[in-house]
Amino acid sequence: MNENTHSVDEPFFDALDCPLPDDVERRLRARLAEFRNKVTSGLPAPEPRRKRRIRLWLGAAASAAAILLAAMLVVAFRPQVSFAEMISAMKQLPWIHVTITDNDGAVREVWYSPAKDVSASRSDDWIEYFDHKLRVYHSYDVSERVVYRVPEYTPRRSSRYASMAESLRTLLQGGQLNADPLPRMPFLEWNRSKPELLKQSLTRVEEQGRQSLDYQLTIRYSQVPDPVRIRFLVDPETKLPRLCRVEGRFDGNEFTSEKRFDYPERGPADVFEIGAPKSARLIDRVPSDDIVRIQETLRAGRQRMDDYRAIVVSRTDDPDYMWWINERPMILYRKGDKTRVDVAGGKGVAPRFEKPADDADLEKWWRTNSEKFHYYPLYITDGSTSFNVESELKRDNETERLVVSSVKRSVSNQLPGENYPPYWSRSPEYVCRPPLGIPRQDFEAVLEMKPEGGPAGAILLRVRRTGRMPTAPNPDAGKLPPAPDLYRNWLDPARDYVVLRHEMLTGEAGKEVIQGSTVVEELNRSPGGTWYASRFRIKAVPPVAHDELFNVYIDFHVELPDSLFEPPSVGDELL
Amino acid sequence: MNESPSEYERIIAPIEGQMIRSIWRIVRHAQDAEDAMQNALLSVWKQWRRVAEHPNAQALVLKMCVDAAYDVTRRRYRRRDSGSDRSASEPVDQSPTPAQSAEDSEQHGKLLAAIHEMPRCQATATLMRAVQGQSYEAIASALGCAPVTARKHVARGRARLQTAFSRYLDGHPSLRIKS
Repeated sequence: MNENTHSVDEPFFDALDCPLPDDVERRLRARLAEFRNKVTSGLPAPEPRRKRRIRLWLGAAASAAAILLAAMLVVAFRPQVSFAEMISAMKQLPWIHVTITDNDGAVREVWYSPAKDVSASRSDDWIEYFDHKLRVYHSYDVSERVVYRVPEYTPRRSSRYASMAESLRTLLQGGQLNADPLPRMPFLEWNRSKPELLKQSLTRVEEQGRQSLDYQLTIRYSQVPDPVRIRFLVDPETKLPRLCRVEGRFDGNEFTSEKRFDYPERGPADVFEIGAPKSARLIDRVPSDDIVRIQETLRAGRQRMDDYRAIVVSRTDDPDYMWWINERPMILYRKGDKTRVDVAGGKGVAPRFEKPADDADLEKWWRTNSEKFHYYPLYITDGSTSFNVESELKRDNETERLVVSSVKRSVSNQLPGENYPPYWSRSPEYVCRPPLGIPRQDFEAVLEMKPEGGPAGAILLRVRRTGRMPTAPNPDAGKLPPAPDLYRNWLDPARDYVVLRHEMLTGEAGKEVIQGSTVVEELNRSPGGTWYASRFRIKAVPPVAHDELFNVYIDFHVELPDSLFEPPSVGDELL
Repeated sequence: MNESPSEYERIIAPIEGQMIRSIWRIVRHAQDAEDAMQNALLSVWKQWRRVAEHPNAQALVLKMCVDAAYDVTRRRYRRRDSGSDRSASEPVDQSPTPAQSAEDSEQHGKLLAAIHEMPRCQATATLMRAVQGQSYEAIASALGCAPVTARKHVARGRARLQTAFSRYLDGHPSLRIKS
């Protein structure tokens, strides 16, 4: 926009301009945060909002719920319950074997050995074998006739079916109904939603000359209108399940899933014993020593960063962009493995600033003006546990109070040291140590010590998709942008391998298109010697028109009381 | 490696502030602004692939915000026209801001009324120009037309506003159109 048109449109701009109340900004940012979560989760597109003041994403949640619940109950396959939840009695079982018949008649098998801490599965497409003790994972791609070997890259999990078996065993130990059985059946929880018990019954039946306890439940999930009926047939002596049958109705379609349990003395010893041919080509994704050293150095940098309080500000590189009006600072805190993200706003009317002089010291400008905002917490993390704080503005006569309306707790499913807090891409120690995405069976990592292009002195870690991995079908996959096929990380070996440039690309070799690129423009060292980014840029790649520039103004010598990192409770007054 | 967050960071995050302020400048009512934002995000989400592959994705998203805000204000004006504006349980925004002084509200209302009388493309182009300061190229890209057409939409919209303002703004020299 040139100066001439500026002057023409200025009166309209002024006529439409109006100070943005903080509570409005907070509400709209909350909608954006919800949207970001939806984009992140890959849920299907929501239904249009038809009625005012309805819970905003309920339609989408219910729709997604049906799909996900169906997936959980019908396709249930992936281990879900942490090993710590297993009760020691189950460890005595040599093997649990489950045969699953899906709604469409497809049959799959799952094995789990509590004693050996090994699990395996077999379907038409993939055969998998997890040795949780050795932390090695083998999988056989049936269509490609390839066996992958890769270090286990997600935390060890026990079997959902072991949990189910143990829950039933303890629940029915006395041979009588428990008035409140659902707390003992954590495997029925889904999408952080606890089901409601509508009815239950326990009888003794005889089928094919065999006595069983017939335990039936009808439950309802808040997001799904129709109830779900579950029937367990349980051995009256051992109280271990023989059958689990689930019936329900989602999106107008009936579905049924059946799981038959048996408890053999012996199970598979490796991926080849359950169908992978020994002649299959082996692709070994165990990283080289050099790459492991880089990963460990980056992990150490993330973990060793000093405690700090940082003002993070951003703007585009569009010279016409009025960032001094539009942008708000964000405050990031770190203390050990605890973090906190505060955003500006909350209540009242946000301060307005005049455009700073072209030669103004912007750090000084932001440090002064950032103090004029209210701040309230959006995220607090403690290790792998994250708390998303939602708040609402209460008006009593002439006074406004920002009050916590909900605190959502979630636990990251990552290996120790691989947790990334919310807004890690704006955090000074994380943005230069992004997730490298390895090891993973579908990505091949190659380290180039003398690459062409890139920052001076940098080495290049290329991570390219050259394989496949078993994933659940995503009904919305076609609506999402394509996943990157290649990640290029330009590492600085002189500065603890921090990533100076991180690029995501799609397409085949030679026809690659950059999908995203972050460039670290300035690095500094904390008092403890950890390198961190104090200025970085998210490069504009089509269709984005302008780069996004970030500055971090950091203070290490500030008092950070532990109370700063304690999640608030619902009803607490924030401002 | 989750790709979707980076798409959000790439396309939406840099313009969050512009989205919020665009909607607010048009709507100026807390609940309506929230509705408009929600509707805009629904549009974005439903057309996510189109957005992600659009030659100027951010302009397209900002256009969706303008459209959503425009639709909300149109509905509001229709309700007023039909006498079925907010119920007693749905109070108007009480934010004690200078912008809600009577004069300012009247001026804002007049401007919106004039915009509501425009054809849709003209209204959208004018709002993208006046509210967001978008370039003609960006407006054209978002509307799917040539830059010269976008320029014409804005010029015609501006002319209508000038007329509306000239009737209304006698005695308000600071808001006369400089051309």
